[in-house]
This record gives sequence, C-alpha cells and structure tokens, in this order.
Amino acid sequence: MSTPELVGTWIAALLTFCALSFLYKDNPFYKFAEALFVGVSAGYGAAYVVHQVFYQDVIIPLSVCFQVAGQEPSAILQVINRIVPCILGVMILSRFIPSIGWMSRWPLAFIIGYGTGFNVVYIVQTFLLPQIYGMITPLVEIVRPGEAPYEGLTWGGVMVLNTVSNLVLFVGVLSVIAYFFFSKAHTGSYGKFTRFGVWMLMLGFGATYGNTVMARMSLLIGRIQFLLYDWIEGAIGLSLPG
Amino acid sequence: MRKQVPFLIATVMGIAMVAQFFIPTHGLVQMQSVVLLYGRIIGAFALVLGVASLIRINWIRAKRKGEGWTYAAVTIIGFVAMFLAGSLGGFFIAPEEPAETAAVTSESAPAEAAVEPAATPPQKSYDFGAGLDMTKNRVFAWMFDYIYTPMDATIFALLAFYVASAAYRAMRARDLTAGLLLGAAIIVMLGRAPLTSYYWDQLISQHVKFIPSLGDVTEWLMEYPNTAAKRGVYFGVGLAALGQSIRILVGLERPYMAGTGD
Repeated sequence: MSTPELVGTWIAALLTFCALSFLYKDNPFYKFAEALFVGVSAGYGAAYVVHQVFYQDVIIPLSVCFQVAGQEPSAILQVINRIVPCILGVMILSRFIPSIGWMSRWPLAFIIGYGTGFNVVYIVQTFLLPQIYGMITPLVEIVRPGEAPYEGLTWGGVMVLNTVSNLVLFVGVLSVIAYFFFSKAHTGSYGKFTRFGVWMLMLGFGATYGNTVMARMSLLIGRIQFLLYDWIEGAIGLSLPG
Repeated sequence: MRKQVPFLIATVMGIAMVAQFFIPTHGLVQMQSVVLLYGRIIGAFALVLGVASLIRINWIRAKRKGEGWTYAAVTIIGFVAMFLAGSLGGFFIAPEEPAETAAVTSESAPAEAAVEPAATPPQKSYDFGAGLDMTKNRVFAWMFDYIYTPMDATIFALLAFYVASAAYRAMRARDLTAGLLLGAAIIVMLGRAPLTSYYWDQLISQHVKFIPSLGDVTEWLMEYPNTAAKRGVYFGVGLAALGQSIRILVGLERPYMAGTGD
C-alpha cells in the first residue's frame, strides 16, 4: 500500500467512524463529517461543472472558433451559441441583487420552457404508454404442445399460477387507478374494488420499503468490509481470522 | 418586459421542443441540440448560484462566530479544497502518450501499463476534442476515493438504521392494510438476505412441498403487486405531469416568476 493510499485509508476510516457515531447520538464528530461532506459535495459539483461545461462547452469551442474565424465564416454562429447562454447564465446570478432580480426570470423561463416542451413528449413515451402497453397482454396462459414443459400447477391446460398472477396485476392496476379517482364516492361495489387497490398499494409500498432497507444494508456491509479488510488488514496490518 | 417576455420565452421554447418531435426537420433537430447546449450552460450557472448561496451563508456564519461556526468553516474548507483539486488540478494533468507509443507500451507490459488511446487533437474546424478526463487528476481522484465516497456511502448506509427505527415505531399491524404493508416488507427483507433465504429453503421449502421458497415469494411480490401499485401510481403521475406541463406552456402556471418580487 503506497503512502497516499495508506493516508487515504486512515482518513476514510476515521470519517466512516465519525459518520457512524451518529448512531449513538448527535455529536461533534458527526457534525464535522456532515459539514465536510456538504462542502466536498458542493466542491465536486462545482469542479465538475467547470470541467464538463465551462471548459468543454465554452472555453475550448470559443478558442477553436476564434482561431478559425477568418477561414470559417460560420464559426461566428458557434461563438454566438456560446456567448448568448453565458449572458443568460449570468442573468440568473442577478437573484443576488433584489433590484434587478427580475432578470433571472428569462433564463429560468428558457430552462423551464424547453424542459416542459421536452417533458410533454417524454412523459407520454415513458410514463403513460408503457403502462398501457404492459396491460395489453394475454391474461390466461395456456400450456402449448411443443413448448418447454411447464412444471407448475395446471388446470385444463391453463397455467394456474401465471394466470392468477396476471389477473392480480391487471385488476390491481385498475383498482389502484380507481382508488385515485376521487370524482366518485368510494362506496358499494366500487368502494370494495378500490379497497383492493389499497391492498395492492400497501403490498407495493411494503415491498419497496423492504427493498430500500436491503439496498441501504448492502451499503453498510460495504463500509464494514472496508473497515475490516482495507483498514484493519490493509492499513493497520492485523490479520483477521478466517 | 418583466412579465410578458419570460412567458413568451417559456411558451416558444416549449412549443418548439414539442414541434421538433412531431416535425423532425433538419433545422428543428439542429435547433434541439443548440437548445440542449444552451440549457447545459445556463444550468451550470444555476449550479453556481446554488453553490455561491451555500458558501455565502456559511461564510456569514463563520465570520460572525456564532454557534457552530467551526462547522461552517469546515464546509468552506472542504468546498475550496475539492474545487481547487478538481478544477485547477485538471489543467496540470501530464499530456498523454501518442497513440503509437501507447500501443508499444501496452504490448511490452500488457497488464500494468495498458494506456488508453490518446485523445485526438482537434483536426476539423469544430472538433472540440474530448475534454479533460477528471479521473486522471490524481489529487482530485484521491479526494474523491478517500473523502467523498466513504462519507457518501456511510451517510446513505445510516439510512438503513433510520428507516428500521422509523418502521419499528410506525409499523403496527393494526388492521389488514397495515398488516399487508408489514408482511410484504418483512418477506422482502428476509428474502433479500442470503442467510434467512437459505435457511428458509433448507428447513421449510424443501420439506413442505406447497410452501414456496422465500426468494420466489419476494420475486412474486416485486413483480406483481409491486408492479400493479407502481403502474397505477405512474399512470397518475404521468397524467398530472402532462397536465402541469400544458398549464406551464399556456401560461396558467409561471414557476419562473417565483422569488423575484412583483
């Protein structure tokens, strides 16, 4: 392990302990780690923007365009396409001065306008149509001769479990949508139908919750593995049993 | 000027973006790429606004030396260190080897000295190159690996305890719906954990034929009831977002006017 790696591993281990110390109670070590994380994250974002946007999208193109401006008349358009958004971008910063704060509306209107226009198509393509496509499938699945043998329960050639699952999905989606339809009172048979939607929502939320907890657990396991193998074994030099 | 121009900009841009999808002429498609570039550059300034705000607030806190001013100072130091390492450090990256040399080096020592192909210098008028590779900035990469990543992962790992503690306090099987939520959560957590999943299969599923494996039940829950719930919710979200987008396009909603007086 090289010196930068060794120092880095020690710092990473100490910061990990600082962050984990919150499990006992709020304390100065956690606050230190939290404050440092906020600063470092902001610094990372700012550095990323400097490289990927200001340098890559503005400085390099402008320098190239100024070099070839004499031979390539169309380079002037490229220059304009860099200067105008920069002016609009600077207008955003007018929010710091209340008397001219209204100037920030123009760039914001630009971003919100194009984002909204883009979203109109994107929402239909990704949120609405795929949900409808997913619903328009056969509900009853039948064992067909010549296909791979089906090992599950069958009844009159119908794959029982698959069919029931498809029905749960189909009726589930309709009942969830019905539950969010508030123009009709949830009473009578319609109320019972929406009640099934609530059950589906609860099962879905529970499953999502369990999944989220386990995803976080895998991150925790990653940190514990780092402390055990990278820090205790690698940096300190102690060998762990097993 | 202050009210009508922003509305005009938003509406024209929105309609133009919709139009370029339905009428994909060369001009409109080119306009889309220019608009995306504009958006990227303006968005970068918006990030500058956010970062400047954060630094300004912490600077004032540190300067007044009120309660917790040292943490404000730590935030500023962390920001400055990461920003300088990332933005200035990148300009001092050693130039890469030419492609021929790299090929020779990789042949002689393929495992250790495999060098990525060198970035081609700008050839044509508008070839702006591939930009800088931030990962080659050693100081920045070191700070990213040993400061940013450990804290990021640990703080997110803490959420496991937060959600578990919140669930312990809030989740009670008071009625059927709460029981379904609790049951689904427990099954998915146990099914996703290798140990419980393994022992369930070894001790129960293999001996009692009609009881499925925990992994199968988890997959079924994720694939059917969870999909049904999500699909219904996504459908509602999609319709609501579509409605909101149209309201913005026709000027019934003007979020760009917020926070700037009048």
